[in-house]
Amino acid sequence: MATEWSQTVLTGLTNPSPELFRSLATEIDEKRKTLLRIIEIFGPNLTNAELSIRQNALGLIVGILENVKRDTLTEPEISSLADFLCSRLLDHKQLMSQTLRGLNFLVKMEKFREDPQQIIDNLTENVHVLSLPRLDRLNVYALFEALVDRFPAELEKMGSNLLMRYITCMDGEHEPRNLLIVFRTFFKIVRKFDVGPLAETAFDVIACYFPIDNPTAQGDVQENLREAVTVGLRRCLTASPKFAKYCFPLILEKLLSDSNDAKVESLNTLVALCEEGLPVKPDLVEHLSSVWIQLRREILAPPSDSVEDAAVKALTSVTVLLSRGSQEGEESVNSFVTKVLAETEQFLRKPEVQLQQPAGKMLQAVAGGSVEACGRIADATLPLTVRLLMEHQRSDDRIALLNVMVLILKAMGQVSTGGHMDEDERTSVAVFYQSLIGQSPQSMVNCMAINGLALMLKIRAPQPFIQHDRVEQICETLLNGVMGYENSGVVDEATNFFKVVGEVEDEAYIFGKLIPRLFEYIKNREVLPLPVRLLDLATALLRTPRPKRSSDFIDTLIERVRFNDERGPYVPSMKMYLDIIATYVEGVNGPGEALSLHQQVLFPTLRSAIHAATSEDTSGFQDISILLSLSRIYRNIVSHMDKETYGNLIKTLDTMYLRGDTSYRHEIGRGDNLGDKLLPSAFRPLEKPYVTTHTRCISILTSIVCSAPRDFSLGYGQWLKRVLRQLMETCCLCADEQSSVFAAQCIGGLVNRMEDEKMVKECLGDLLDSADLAKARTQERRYTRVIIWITKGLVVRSQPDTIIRQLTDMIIVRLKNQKSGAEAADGLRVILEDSAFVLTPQMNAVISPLYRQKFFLQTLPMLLQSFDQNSEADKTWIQRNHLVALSHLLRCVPQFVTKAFMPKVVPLLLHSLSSDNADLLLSTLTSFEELLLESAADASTTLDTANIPPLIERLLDLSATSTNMEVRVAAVRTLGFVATQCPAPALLPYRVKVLKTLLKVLDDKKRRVREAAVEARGIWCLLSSSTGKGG
Amino acid sequence: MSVASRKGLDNSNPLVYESVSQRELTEAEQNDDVVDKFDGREVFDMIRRINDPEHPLTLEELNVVQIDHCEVDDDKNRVVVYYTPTIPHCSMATLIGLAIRVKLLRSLPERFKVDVRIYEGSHVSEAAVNKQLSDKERVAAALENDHLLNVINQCLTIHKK
Repeated sequence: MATEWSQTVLTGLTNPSPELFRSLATEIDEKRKTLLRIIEIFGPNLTNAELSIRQNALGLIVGILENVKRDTLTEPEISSLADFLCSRLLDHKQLMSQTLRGLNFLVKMEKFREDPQQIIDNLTENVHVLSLPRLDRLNVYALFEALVDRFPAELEKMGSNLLMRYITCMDGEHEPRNLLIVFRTFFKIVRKFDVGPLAETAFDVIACYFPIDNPTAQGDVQENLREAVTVGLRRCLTASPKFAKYCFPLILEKLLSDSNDAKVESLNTLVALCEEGLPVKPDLVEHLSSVWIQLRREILAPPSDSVEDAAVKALTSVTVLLSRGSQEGEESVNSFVTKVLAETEQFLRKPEVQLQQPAGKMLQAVAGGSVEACGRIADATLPLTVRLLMEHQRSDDRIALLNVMVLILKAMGQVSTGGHMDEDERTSVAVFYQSLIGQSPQSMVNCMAINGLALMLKIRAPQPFIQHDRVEQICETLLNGVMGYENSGVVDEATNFFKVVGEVEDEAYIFGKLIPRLFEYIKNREVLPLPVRLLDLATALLRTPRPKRSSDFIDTLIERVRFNDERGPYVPSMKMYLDIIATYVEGVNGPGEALSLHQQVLFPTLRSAIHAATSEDTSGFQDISILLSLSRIYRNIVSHMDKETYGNLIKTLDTMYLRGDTSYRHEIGRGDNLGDKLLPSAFRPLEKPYVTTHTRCISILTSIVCSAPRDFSLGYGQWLKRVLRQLMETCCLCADEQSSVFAAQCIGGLVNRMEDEKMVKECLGDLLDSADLAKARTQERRYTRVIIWITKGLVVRSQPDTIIRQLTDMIIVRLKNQKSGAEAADGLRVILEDSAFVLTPQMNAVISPLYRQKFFLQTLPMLLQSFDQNSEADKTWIQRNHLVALSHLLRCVPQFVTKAFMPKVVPLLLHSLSSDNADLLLSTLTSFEELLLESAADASTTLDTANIPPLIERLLDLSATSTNMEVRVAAVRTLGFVATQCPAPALLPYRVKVLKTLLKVLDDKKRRVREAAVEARGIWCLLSSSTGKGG
Repeated sequence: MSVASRKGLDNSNPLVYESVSQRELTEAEQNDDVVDKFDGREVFDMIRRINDPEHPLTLEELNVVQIDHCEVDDDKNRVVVYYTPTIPHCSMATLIGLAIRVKLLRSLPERFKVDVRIYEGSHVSEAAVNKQLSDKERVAAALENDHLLNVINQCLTIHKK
């Protein structure tokens, strides 16, 4: 046994394999064998005179070290191995690679207690690193890094000797992948240990690499590597405060170079040096005037945008660094700011040199650096600019100056300071801006003035830049003067200003004055074309999150809704007001607010809606768009209610919808005199004879019962059974198509909220199998609709497979039914698309993540199978239904999911191209387009070459003969994508034919088709040329 | 930078013009039943993105082709394009003309008779170039030349911006 095992070990010498190494390592890990025992077997080989034998033996040891666990080997074992490996460093060069790997593994062992200094000495004295191959060099650096990480205390004793040894090792390294580790280790050594007298030498070694320049770098990997090396080098250059003395001159020197990359990198290094937190301020102060001159030059005449951005950033960092330290910081910043102000002022004063913008940028950069600097710049520049603005009348000059103001105001907002100006001075700036508004309604000056005011408004610390009274005045000016203009930049700016007002002013002003004023404004124009921006503004104000809100204004809005209903009805105006309420309601904060909104909004409007439904007069509340707006409001209120209130509401609905009792006893505790007596007819939305105005109110029912609070359970008792049954009957039998959809949605929403599988099964049994609904089920198309919505409700919450499979099967079977086929095909879209009316997260619906993907994976095979089964060529509509279903399925799921199925699906898609259904064609062409673009992104094309000929044929046919313009455009476009994304050899046989057909398309009667054809034909023309595949 | 510093450029620092925005879609163009006639803008759109042989710019950006210099008569099947070389002694004038011609050859229906000419007074050897470009035989012969075709194809390769 033992000898057999030794034999195995010995085979490892002649025939090394990773499996053997692993098995030996496992045996050592499990203490069945010791390393010593193994080495004994082939010990003599390690010192054999023959090089190849020594190499094999060493390889075996390293192989075992690589695989053994890190805590297995004992201290003596490690010690002797370390000695052995160090001695191998003196051996033949060919053993070097293995030895270095071995040492690297050994250092990582947990019980490694050797003297790191000795290893480093051995390494640097016996190995000439630069002459080693790349990977071995990498191992040397890795060894250094591991030792530095593990033994900082021991290596401390070496003093600057360590750094000396390291830079001797790494000097001359040029391979970017190695440099990554070289720089990392260098940084660690410099940061952890004393640099001593070696600062200059070490810096020089590293500075040679600056700036990293690798013009041959191409592709993402190379580009990323270059970026990583650049960052590594930057960290090295700024690793020690002792480097600063050499680093500033280096930066200044490289800034003078011609290359923009070098400039950007120098500026980035300057930023890093300033922001590293090292005590480098004295060095900066020493070089400050040259740094400023260089930075000023790069900003005043920037060679490129990137240089300009970097220079601006560097200027800010310089200011930040200067402002460090209390007393002395203030002084150095002050003198710097004085210098900057003196030099920029001349640019502001002389508009003819057109340097206001860069001057503004410099001021902004410096101001962004410290509160102190910002305050001084604001104090000096804002009054000056205002004065200059009054002097200059040319609008170009004014715009340039206003731009400068904007930049400074932005900086003030960032560091949040208002400067040292007193209130009068601040107000005078604001007043001046206010006076600019309205001077020339459409002009740029106007826009910039409002923009400036918005920026001033944002400055709140230490005190508001603009006083509250002034804000009110400005709001009034804007409402009176500006908001009337439609479609101009001024209105955009004004809207933005109001948004800022909404953020900074308190709710007493917003809800008490601004919003009522706004609605008054809207009210006066409600019959005119609706001022869209005002609505946007109102929505923005209402959406701004605030701790306290006041809903007083809603009464006025409901009043307006009634007014518009009685006087018209003016449905658009009613809808507008309801939508505003809906926006407010979106932010319901807890059950308390929900309850009060229930009283204030839900109950009165619900009453109006039901009253209108039963009335014979026309009312705005009968309009479907109004009902949907109401539903939107109710959903948000109801989903935030507490259990009790919601329970009462459900009872009210029960009496209304199921019992036709509209006396509102539940709500007001007594019979309402508005009740049955005044209702022209009883309210029976869920019963025959299904009056359309009644059944449409199901939308309201849906919004309430499907948005139950999270902790409320409807159970599956008699009540729900009855509701579901009546809903299903109504859905299948009512006259109005829209009401039928509402009912189906309601069923879907209710099924989604059922607690457990048992309930679901029982419910499905009742709806789909029970005898008393048999009549409803004979309406095939409507019945399919019910199935679809039930499926959606369950798919969204990822019900267990069996139930969904069963339901999906029912849908797919119906694809072959003449009556319900189209509805079933469309059903897959309904299931996968988000609905705005039901099953949304806001309605507390149970939604499981990635449900679309799950449904796709389950349904696609079923659909494909069903398609294969019906090969009767005569029934084209069956095929069409399948293909439409497929197109919905593909469209609603991300591409990376569908990709795996493409080989199976592409033939079907080709089939779809023969259809005459424009929607299907467009959807299929979009699928092909995506497929083609995707196949270019990752070289492996998903479109099989065998599919290219039929695809081209079909596309050509569609391009030339389709009667639908959109289809022709899409076909021609796809043809162009085929040429750019498919391999040229497969296309060349078709080139002549394609060019000939497209020549005809060039004379298409529609310009859009012709334009697409010009592009596609251009690409096909270039196909054979040596310029490649058309760019 | 690198292109401009290369030797032998005729005009190393040309004026760059702004390009026009995309043509706005009219209601009539959306309507499948209305026939859209060819117009100057449509022909201009075909040629405006041709690359200049020397600069990394399009003919539109160099103002070599202009929308007002594209004359189209859909009923009489005539298209005349006038182009303006950047400088009067531009040696690339013929090549640019050829590129425009080839592009129109590939982009217009066969029924059109196409003329590509230098805008009057904008080039020293205007007459000679015009003669070359209107000679069908010579154009065809030029396209037989692989090297020339390659250069033209490079001009016609659309660079996505």
